[in-house]
Amino acid sequence: MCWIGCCLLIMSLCGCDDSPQDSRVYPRRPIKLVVPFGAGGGSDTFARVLQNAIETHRLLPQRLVIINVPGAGGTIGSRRVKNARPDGYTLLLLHDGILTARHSGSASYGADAFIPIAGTGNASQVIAVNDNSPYADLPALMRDATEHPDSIVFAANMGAPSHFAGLMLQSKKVGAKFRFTQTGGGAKRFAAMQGGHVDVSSFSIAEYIQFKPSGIRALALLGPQRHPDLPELATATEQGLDVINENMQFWWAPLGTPADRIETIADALQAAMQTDQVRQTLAEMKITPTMLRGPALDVEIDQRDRMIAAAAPTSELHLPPFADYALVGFIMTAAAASIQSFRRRTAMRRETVDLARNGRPANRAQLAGIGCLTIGYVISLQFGLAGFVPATAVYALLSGGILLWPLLASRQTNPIKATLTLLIVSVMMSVVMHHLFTEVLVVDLP
Amino acid sequence: MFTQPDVAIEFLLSPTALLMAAIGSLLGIFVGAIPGLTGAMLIALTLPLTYSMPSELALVLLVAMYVGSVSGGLVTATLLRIPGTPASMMTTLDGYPMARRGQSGRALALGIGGSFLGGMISWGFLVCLAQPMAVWSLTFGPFEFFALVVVAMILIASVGGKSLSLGLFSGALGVMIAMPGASPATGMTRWTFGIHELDDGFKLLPVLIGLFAVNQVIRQILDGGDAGQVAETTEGDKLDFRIRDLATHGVNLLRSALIGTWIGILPGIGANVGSVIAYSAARRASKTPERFGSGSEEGIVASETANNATVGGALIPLVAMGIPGSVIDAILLGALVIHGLQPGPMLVQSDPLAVQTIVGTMLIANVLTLLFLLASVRVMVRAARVPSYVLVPVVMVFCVIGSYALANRMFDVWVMLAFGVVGYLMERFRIPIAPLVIGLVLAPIGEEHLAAGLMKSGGSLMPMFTQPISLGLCLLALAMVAWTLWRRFATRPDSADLT
Repeated sequence: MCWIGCCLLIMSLCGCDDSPQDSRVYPRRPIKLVVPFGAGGGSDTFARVLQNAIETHRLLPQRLVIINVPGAGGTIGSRRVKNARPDGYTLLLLHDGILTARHSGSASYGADAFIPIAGTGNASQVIAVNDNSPYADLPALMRDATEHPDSIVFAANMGAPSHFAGLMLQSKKVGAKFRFTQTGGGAKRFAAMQGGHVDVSSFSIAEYIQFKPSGIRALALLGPQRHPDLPELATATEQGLDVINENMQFWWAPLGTPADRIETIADALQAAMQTDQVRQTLAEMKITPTMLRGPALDVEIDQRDRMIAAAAPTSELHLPPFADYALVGFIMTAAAASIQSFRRRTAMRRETVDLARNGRPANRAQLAGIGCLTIGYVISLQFGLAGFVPATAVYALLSGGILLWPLLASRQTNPIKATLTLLIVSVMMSVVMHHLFTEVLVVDLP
Repeated sequence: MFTQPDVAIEFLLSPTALLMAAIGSLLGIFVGAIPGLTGAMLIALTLPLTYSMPSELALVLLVAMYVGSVSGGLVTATLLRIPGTPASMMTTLDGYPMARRGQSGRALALGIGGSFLGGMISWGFLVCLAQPMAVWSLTFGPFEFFALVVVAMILIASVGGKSLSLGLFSGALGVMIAMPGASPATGMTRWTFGIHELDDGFKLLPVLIGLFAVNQVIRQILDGGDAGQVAETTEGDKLDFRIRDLATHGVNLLRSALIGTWIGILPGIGANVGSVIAYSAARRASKTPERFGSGSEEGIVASETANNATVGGALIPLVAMGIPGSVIDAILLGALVIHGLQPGPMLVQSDPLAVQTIVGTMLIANVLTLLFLLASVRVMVRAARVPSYVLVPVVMVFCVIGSYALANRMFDVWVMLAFGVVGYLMERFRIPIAPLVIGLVLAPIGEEHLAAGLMKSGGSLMPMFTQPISLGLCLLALAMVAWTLWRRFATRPDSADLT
């Protein structure tokens, strides 16, 4: 038993050897890359392709650890990086969504809240319709949108690049107006188009190539020039509408990050983008292997920001306040429920008394003890008061001990066997879980 | 769905996939058998572990757990009179008396056989119905989907629990909890009270882990924890299968499987309700209704066949339309999204392998569960007696890691703890939890489709009543409200024993 304790102590000491070395050497510990979308999505895959190349070619002396912080169209993750310490150890990968989020109003900050490191990989959008749609090309569609404004249903993910593709198109043609409908991600937009519920939508080039055989047809490519995989598809510019809508994967650092650290990362990314491995995978993903940095990058971001700002939605359809309806419904059902339970008051009271009797005082004390322990445990994880391993070990030991104590006191359990079991449990939950999560599953534990 | 099934078959029969299916069903059975641990809890806690797995492999694991956990409860229900999962509640009524009479082998054999056949029959329905339903549901526009969600919500409220008002209240609470954060219609945030962590609202997984796992831990501690209270069983008799059971119980079996599948398809009602309704139907149809509750073979068959049949039934709307049929399906829906798969009518087309994996795993897990149950009934009784001083720390640490790993933030851990308390208080005041979960899952789906419909129609609600499918669904919803009210007020005395 003693040696387990010693092991725990040693392990916890190993976990915090943050001895101050030469702080000018960068990086000297793993760099966290926040991907503000879920695992398995397009951005996550892109990040992992580059991470893989950086690791196999040893382009950085330390690991690049990907942390998925999904939610609210990328703003949960981007806000975390914005507020992170600007030491070059917390970076963000976020595409044009960082620009659209500000102009659609879902975030109060845009690109100016970060230092751009690099722009890598670029994918154009495609404007597509159902196979049996009457529109033969982009001018035909825009002509109809001008003659019958607010009647062509445009499926979009509101506030996201697919929405801005439509906004940019109508902003280039006086009088044109689409009726935008919230439809969600690419697969949902395609389903709505197949079912005949929408008239037109915008897809990424990879999505379009995937869905094309099932019955959709592209009218225009929203890129600067034609794409090698779709050589016969004319760009919007060729068809007389100067609209370019692309998605570039930008790398960002918090404001205040030292310039030499930005350079180090940009060098590694540039080298990674030139490996065959990355070029081949990006070709499969229909992503153009772009690499922008320095002044060229600033110009590009500024240009995109202005294009998006020019097309920003002016007035939206006023939707009913669903949240207020939910609140009203909640209050009404709560009132109904309390009236009914008031009627059955006697029955309820008996049940509650039964329950109260079941929870004997000793157990309530146990519950209170474990409750306080749990809160302390979570607080210590949140503020990093102790590492995951020692905090968890102590927590498992103490909470198990609280439950074990009455059994030991009343001699219902073999004390040696029970204590041993509890020790095994605490080691399993701390050391083994830590190993499993950080090494095998690569999740960043608190 | 059946284009190139050879890829899926090859994948499912690969050693890794079979191993995952075996681990999943075995863990499912054990967790199902341990009172206080449920399938929903197991799957919610396992989901974070699957982040780094390929999505198909993760689906194999999770679906196998689902199948195993519904079956595992029957052993402890029969031998210890403790339903390991709520779904085997009805099995205790007849299984335990039989075990007391020294017929535990016979009772277990009937339960295991019923589970297997119920699962297989509903699997047949899943295979036959998923594809046509997916194709048909492509014709569903936003208003049709919204009407479907309304029907689903009314169903939960009307069938979900003992009290209509408490069920409604729970459902409304679920809808409320879904409101803070980014609106699914416009992406604008609302009700965040300046807390940026709330920009994305309450995530489903921490809420579920809290409601099911933490709540259970609290109850476990208050109840004095350790399971085996009064459990006399006779040891030694073997599992007793007879061929002519198929003849004597055939009708009951088929009826229970059909009821189970149908109840499974209906959104929001899971295995528990399926087994209760099949049990009462069997009693009504039986020649010896008086034996129900004191060791009726028919009762065990009805309950266990139906609860397993709900699994296949509940997967049909999940696979075909992306609408969850049960609480576990709600978690599976989250799993699909987390693994980058887009649930909805397109899933069958855009990712046939995922659909075939779900369907194939259900078949394999059913067979594996049968084999494991046959091999391990006696061992499981001992597993069901894990002392609480081991169970509580393990479950709590898993809860913390599980909610943290979802989005790498501590906020979700606090949400999880808070909902643990909420779940405990709800059960203490006899408020059913299932409507809350379904309300939480369905509210964003409903809001998104309603908003899309309003955007498409320029703000008018009229298409809802002018298009045939949505009009039909609206009328169905009205009929259900009327029927529920009529049943509550006209036949009040016996409404309680039905649900």
